[in-house]
Amino acid sequence: MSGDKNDKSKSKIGSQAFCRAGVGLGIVAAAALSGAAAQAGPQKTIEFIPSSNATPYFLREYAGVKAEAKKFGYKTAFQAPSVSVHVGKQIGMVYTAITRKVDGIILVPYSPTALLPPVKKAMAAGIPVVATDSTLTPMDAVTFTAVPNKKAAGAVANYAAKMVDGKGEYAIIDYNLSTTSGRARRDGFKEAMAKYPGMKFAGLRISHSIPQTALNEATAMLESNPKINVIFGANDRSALGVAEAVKRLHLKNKVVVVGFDADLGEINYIKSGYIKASVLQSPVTMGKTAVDVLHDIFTGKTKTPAKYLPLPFHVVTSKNYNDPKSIDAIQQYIADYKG
Amino acid sequence: MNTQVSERAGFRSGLIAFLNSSLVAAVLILLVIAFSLAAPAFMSTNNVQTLLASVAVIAVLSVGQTFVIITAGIDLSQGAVVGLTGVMGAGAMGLAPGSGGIVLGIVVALITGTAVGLLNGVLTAYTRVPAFIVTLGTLSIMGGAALLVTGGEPIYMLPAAVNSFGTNSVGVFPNIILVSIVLAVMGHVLLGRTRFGRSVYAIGSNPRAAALSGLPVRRNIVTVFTLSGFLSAVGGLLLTSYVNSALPTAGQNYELDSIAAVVIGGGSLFGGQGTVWSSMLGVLLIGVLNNGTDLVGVSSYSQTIILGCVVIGAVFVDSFRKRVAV
Repeated sequence: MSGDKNDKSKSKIGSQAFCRAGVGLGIVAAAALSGAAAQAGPQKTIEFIPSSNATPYFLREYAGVKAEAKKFGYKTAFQAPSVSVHVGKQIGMVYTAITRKVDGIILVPYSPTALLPPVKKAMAAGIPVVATDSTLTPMDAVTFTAVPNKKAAGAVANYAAKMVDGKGEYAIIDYNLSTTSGRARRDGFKEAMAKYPGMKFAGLRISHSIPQTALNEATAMLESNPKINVIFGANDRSALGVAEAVKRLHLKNKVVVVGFDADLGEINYIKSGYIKASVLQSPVTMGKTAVDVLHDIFTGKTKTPAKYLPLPFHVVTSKNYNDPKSIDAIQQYIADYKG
Repeated sequence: MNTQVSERAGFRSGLIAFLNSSLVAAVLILLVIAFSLAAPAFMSTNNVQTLLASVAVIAVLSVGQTFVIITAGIDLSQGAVVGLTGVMGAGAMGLAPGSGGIVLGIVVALITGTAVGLLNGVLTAYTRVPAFIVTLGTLSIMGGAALLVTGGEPIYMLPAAVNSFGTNSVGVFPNIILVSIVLAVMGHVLLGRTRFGRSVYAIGSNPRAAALSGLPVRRNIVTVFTLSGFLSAVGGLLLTSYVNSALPTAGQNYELDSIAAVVIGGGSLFGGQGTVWSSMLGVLLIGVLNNGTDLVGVSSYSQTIILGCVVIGAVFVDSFRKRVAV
C-alpha cells in the first residue's frame, strides 16, 4: 500500500518536471520562430549594442540605425545590458553576436579596454565593427563616429563662464568615467574653464545616468558650497537631475546649469531657463553614419574606412531654442518636436 | 535477455529518480537540447566558452551564498565586495612591477574581501542585527569605499598577464570557469562531507537545537560569512581579469544573481536546505537561459522577465513538490 502511494507521488513529481520543462520549451520555441526569420535568406543583419538601455539617447541612435538599414534592406537587432555598469554582459553580447554570425556590429563600448578582445575577435571573424559615441583604446582599433566630445563640452563651458563673467566655482555631474565620451566631456569642460582665472573647480560627482542620483549629488554640492555658480550635467540624465536640484533650491538666477544632450524634460527646462545651454549631438545621424560605414564595407566600396568620422554639434540655449537650426537639432532627440 | 531488460529498467528508474531529485537538472538538460535545435551555434566551442565565462563570477559568488543561505542568512554585500576588491587588487598590481605586482594585487584583494566577510559575520553573529540589514549596510559602505578609493575612475593599466588569463581557455573551459569549478568542488566537499558542513545545516534548520547540542553556532556563522567575503574577492579578481579593467561599480547587482542561482537550485531562504552542486545547476540555468535567448534573438528586455519567472516558478514548484511529498 505504502509502496503504491510512493509511486503515485513519484509520477506526480515527474509530470511536474515535464510541465516545467514544457514552459521552458515554449519560450524557446517562440524565440526560435523569431530567430529563424532573422537567419533566412542572404539579408544582412546589423546588431546595435549600446552600453546601456537606461539612456534615451541610444534609443534615438537605434532609430537612426533602423531607418538607414531599412533603406539598404538590412535587418537590425538591439541588445543592451539592462544595468549600465554590467560591462561583463556587454562583452558577452558581442561574443554572442559573433556566434550568431551577424554581418556588422555597431557598438557603444562601456569600457575602452574591456571591449577590445571581443571586438578583435569579431573583426578576425570578418564582422566589421563601428564604435559610436565612445571608442576603444587604442583609438585606431575600429572606425569611430561621434561628436568631438572635448570640443563640444568646451563650447558649453565657454558659454557658462561668460554668463558668470568668468568668476565663481563650477561643478561637474558626469554619467561615468568609464566610457571615453564621459572622460572627454569632463576634460573638455575643465580645459576650457582653465582659461578663466576666476573660475575654480569645485568637484565632480557621478550620476550613473540616473536623474535621481544627479539630483541628490547636485543638491548636496550646492548646499555645502554656496560659491558654486556653474554646474555641468554631462549627459541627458545628469543634466536633468541638476536642473531639478536648481529648481528645488530656487537658484535659477544664481546658478548656471549647462548640459549635454536633450530629452523632452530637458527641453522644457531650457525653455524655462533652468538649463541655460546644452550641447546637442545628432543621435539619429550617428546611427545612420555607422550604418553607412558598414554599407560601404558590405558593398566593397571601401575596405579600410576612415578611423574617425566627426559629427556636428549644436549649442542650444534658453535664447535660441526657437531658431530653425535649434529645432532641427532637437528633432534628432524628439522626432515630433515642432518648437 | 533478462539481464538486459532489468539493466534498462534500472537505467530508467535511475533516470526518473535523478529527474525527481533534481528538477533543475532536468529543465537544464531540456533547455540545452531545445537551444541546440533552435540555434545550431549554441553547442559550438566558441559559444560554450562565452557561456561559461559569463557565469564564472556568479558561480564563485553562489558557492559562498549557498553556505550563507543554508544558515538562514543572506549576503547582500557580495556585489559591492566584487567591485571593491577588484579596484583594490588592480590598484595594488600597479605598485610593483611584473608578477610581484600581480601576487600583491591578489593578496590585497583576498585580504580585503575576507575582512569584509569577517565584519559581516561578527556583526550578524554577535549583535542582534539581522544578516539582511548587516549586509545591506556593508553593501552600501563597500560600494562607497570602492568609489572613494578610485574617485569613480576605472583602473585600466593592468599587467598583460591578467587579461590574457581572463580571456584564454583550456579547450572549451575558459581559465576563469576552471577557478570557479575548483572552488565549487571544494565548497561541495566542505559542505557535504565535513563536520563543519553538517553544523551549517544544523544551524540553519534550528539554531537553538544546534546551540543546545553544543555546536559553536556563532563561530560557524562568522566562518560562513568570512568564506562568502573571501569568495567575493575571488569573484572580483576573476571579473577584473575578464573585463581587462577594474570598475568600482562592476559588481553591482551580482548578489541578486547569486541569490537567484541558490534559490533556483533549491536553497531555502529559511535555512537548512541547499547544496553547492544544485546552486551550480542554478547558475548554469541562468547562464543557459541568458545565452540561449540571446542566440535565438530574444531581446535583453524580455530576458530579465524570463529570469524572474524562472526564479518564482522554481520556488513554487519546489514548495509544491514538498507538500506532495509530505
